[in-house]
Amino acid sequence: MIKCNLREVMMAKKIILILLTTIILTGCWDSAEINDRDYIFAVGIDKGEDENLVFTAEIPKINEGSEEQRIIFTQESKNLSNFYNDSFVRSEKVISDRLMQVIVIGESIAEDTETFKRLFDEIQRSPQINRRVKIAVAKGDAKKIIETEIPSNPIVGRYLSEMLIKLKKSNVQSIYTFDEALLNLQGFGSGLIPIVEKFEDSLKIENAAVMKDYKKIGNLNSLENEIVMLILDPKSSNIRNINLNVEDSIISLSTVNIKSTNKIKLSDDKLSVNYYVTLYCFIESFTLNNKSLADKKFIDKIKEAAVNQISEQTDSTINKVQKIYKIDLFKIKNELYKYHNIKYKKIEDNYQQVFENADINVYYAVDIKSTGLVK
Amino acid sequence: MYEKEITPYQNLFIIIVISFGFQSMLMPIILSAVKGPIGWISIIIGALILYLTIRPINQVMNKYKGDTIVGIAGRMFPKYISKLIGFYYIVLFIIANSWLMKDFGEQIKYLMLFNTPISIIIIAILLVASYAAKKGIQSIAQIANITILIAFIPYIAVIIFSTYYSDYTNVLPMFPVDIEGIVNAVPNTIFGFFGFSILMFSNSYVVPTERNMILNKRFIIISMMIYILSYILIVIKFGMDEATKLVWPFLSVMKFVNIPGFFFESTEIVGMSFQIIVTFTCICILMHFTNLVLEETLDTRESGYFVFIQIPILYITASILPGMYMLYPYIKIPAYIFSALNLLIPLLIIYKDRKKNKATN
Repeated sequence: MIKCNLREVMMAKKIILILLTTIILTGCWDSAEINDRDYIFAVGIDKGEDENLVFTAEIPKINEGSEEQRIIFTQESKNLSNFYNDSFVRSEKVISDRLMQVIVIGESIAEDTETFKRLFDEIQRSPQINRRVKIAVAKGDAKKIIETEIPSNPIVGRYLSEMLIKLKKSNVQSIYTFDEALLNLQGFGSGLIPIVEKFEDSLKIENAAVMKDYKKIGNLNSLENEIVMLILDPKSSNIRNINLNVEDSIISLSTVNIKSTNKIKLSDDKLSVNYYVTLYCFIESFTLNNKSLADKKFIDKIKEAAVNQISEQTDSTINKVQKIYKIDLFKIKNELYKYHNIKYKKIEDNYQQVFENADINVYYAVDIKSTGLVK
Repeated sequence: MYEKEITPYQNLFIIIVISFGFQSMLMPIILSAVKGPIGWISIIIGALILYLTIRPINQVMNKYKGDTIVGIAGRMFPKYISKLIGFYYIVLFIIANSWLMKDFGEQIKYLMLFNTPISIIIIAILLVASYAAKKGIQSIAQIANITILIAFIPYIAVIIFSTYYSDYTNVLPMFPVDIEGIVNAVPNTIFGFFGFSILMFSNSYVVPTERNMILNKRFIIISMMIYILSYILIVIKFGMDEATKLVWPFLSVMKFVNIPGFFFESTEIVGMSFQIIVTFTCICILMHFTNLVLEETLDTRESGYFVFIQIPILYITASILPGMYMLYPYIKIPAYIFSALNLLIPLLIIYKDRKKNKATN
């Protein structure tokens, strides 16, 4: 007969309790091993029939050791969660969106306010999709973008993600994540979402979709986008070369630094906004052995031509944004709210009208800091 | 049975950790109560009010060394009043703990264990926390100590990495000041300094007691700074419009954690893992002090078993509470009452003590 003292019994009870606790209370019924998961890298969303959405998902075959192969499948579902439910019965693995890199929104959705809002709400509400997921609007169908075979980088999700990060870092595009798109559309009622389109056997992001009240109302080309970015964030703005023709010589200027100040005046219903932008440039290219750059008058002519050229582009962009699209892409409302709050409160309800009639000017000054490595 | 002495700094850590737990929970209320990004003014006012009471309450507690607020009340007032005060703190701690439990359980459910029933999460936390709570104040103090080092400081540090692409101008406009909103939010901010209620009990376990006053004052200042930092961080990250829509704004900031060179499948889980330790410690602290008040109010000797009695009560209260978003309107009004009583009870004791002093003189 085995004799146990009280202490041993208590110890045995404790061990059994601990073991039971670790087994029962781990909540491990949630677990799905990484090998049993299919990670969606990119999803394209288009409008389907009967209020349905067409989801085109790209899943890299990472579990099979290949970084360059992918599976693409298309599914028509009511919404994102239905898409996961519908996909569940199509694969032996668990579909996961935790590593989602890019969401490409089809033009058909971007042009439909209700569907766009429904989709954004679902993404925002989802505890699984990261708000930092990159976002782009497709030119045409999102499905075609996802299906593009890019020889150099076959995983479209990765390709677009890397490209959007690059464009954001160099300030070519103002929005690159879902979070930014949401904050802009909710906070300012407008925003510029990058447009992705097919380009030869690859993809390019050059233009931006003009979004107003959760609807795409037009496009800005790269030059116009550049001007908007210059006004919005001059310090990190990235202006491409200014190509001029002065006295039959072709000159290319490159901007190295930009300084900007603004003056916003609001008296009653009259809003006037003046931006003063100084571009510090250097000569990128000129003509070999041409010594005109030593002449101050010639330099002044270059400056004048540069100012005229960029002012012309700016005026046309401002006109398009203010008079045609009638949206405050320059976030003047935000400036008024933060720095002239008392005056802004008086016109808050009537702001749209005030903005449309506002006098918006950008005054440029160009300073040539260097002629490069030769005189 | 267990060691019943803690050092002044252990006490400081306990009250800082517990305050942070409530501050992050109450953040949505502060954000939506005040128009514009000036809720931090309410936090400063709340801190100032509490700061002014630290000296007199410590003077009284020094006089009755080793006694908690319930014990002191027992010496000053008729027995039924001290019992009432004791029951008030029992109710406060149990309700506050059930809010914390519900909030914490939901966070885990929505962000980590999607399929696990919330009741399982709550009971698991309760069982583990009760074990720690039963081990006495020394264990609680050591847990708080460790939490500060391994979870709280890294948690705050990780947040720094989430300020990428923040709009710092979101802290504007400061004018016109929404005075009504600020005043309305003050009781909620006071409730956020939950450590103030805890120190009414924990101070009596501190040895030596001489540094209590200075460290209690430091608690108010440090806790206020953390509170303001958290508030401003949310505002600059999301802006006021979006921040007021979020159920867990503080946790949502975690979605932006971006530590160069690190890969995270789900970034908010990094924050969650720290938050789990912090909130778990808060639950332990609350369970322990509920047990303590029960002991004092019911005049029992060492009765760690009150910890286990709390389990079904906390489980039921946490389970029947609605989801956090729907719960906020119900928290707002009780928080007003609790904040008022948390201030009134010590003030009443201070007043009574001064009156007694005058009579003696």
